[in-house]
Amino acid sequence: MARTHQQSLIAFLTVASLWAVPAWAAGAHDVVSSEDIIRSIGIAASVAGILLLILVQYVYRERLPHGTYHRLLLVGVFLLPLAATWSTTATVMEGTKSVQACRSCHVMHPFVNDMTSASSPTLAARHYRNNWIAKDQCYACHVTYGATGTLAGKRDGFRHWLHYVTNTYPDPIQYVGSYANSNCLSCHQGTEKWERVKSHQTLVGELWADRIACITCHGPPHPLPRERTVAVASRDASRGTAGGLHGQ
Amino acid sequence: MDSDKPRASYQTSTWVTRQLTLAVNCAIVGLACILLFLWHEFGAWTIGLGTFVGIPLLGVAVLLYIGAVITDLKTRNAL
Repeated sequence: MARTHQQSLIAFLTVASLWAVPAWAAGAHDVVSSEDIIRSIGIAASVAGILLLILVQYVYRERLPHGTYHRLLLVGVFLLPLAATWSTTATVMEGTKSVQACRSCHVMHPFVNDMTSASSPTLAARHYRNNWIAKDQCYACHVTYGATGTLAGKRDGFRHWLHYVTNTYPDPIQYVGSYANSNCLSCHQGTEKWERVKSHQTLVGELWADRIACITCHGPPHPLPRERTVAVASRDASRGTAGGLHGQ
Repeated sequence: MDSDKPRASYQTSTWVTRQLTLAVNCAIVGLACILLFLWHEFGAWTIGLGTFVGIPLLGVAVLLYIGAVITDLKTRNAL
């Protein structure tokens, strides 16, 4: 009798978790990437874990043998959550690099709208529309390169998230600290175009030491505070000038 | 063989039962938070709920489960 319960439980959980994956994947994406697969594993593990724990603890608890009950709890409390945690961590680590993730906070809308604008003269917009950075454009310039760069990027991201959800940020937001030229130089230094400019050769030491900022001559990187109005940027977007501008 | 006996034959202490129930509830809520984040994709609140609420709750659930198992084994003089 107990074995029948176990078999029906396992069959139910398998069907439920397998249903969850295609139901999500079909609705959201046409092309399935490795990130989608990792996410779908997390979704399946979460669905299976929730159902397993509810059934084991609140439905079949008195009918299951003691050993089976503890083994199923081990799966529901430890193994499936482990898979879900791995999936979430991987999704966060990869997903936070995307422009979409930056845009998920409304305070960043003016920046993303400006970047995707066809007419904006800012550095970010020029990089975006000329496809100088193929993907994850925000992250590419805002994670400091080096051994601790990615970690520092996540730490800053957490700090920004905390300010956002607790509503403890100035509006319009201000850039705090200094922008490291290494973010620019890691891509630009050594290219033919960069080497052709004599002032670059003269000032290379100053640039690496951050005594002169690249944006002194090449800025502004983003719209100035008075220009950051969502309304203007949204109007620009509604005219069809936002997005899909690579290669222009 | 003992592990295949029906659960009713075991005299699990109330403390262990409570701990297990709490662990299960924490795990259910934690998994629900993670599911919301993974399903809904990136949003300021869903990412916070998934990573800063969901994952710690799962950690608490595991600790409670381990605590309950150790207490149970000690009660039975198996540890």
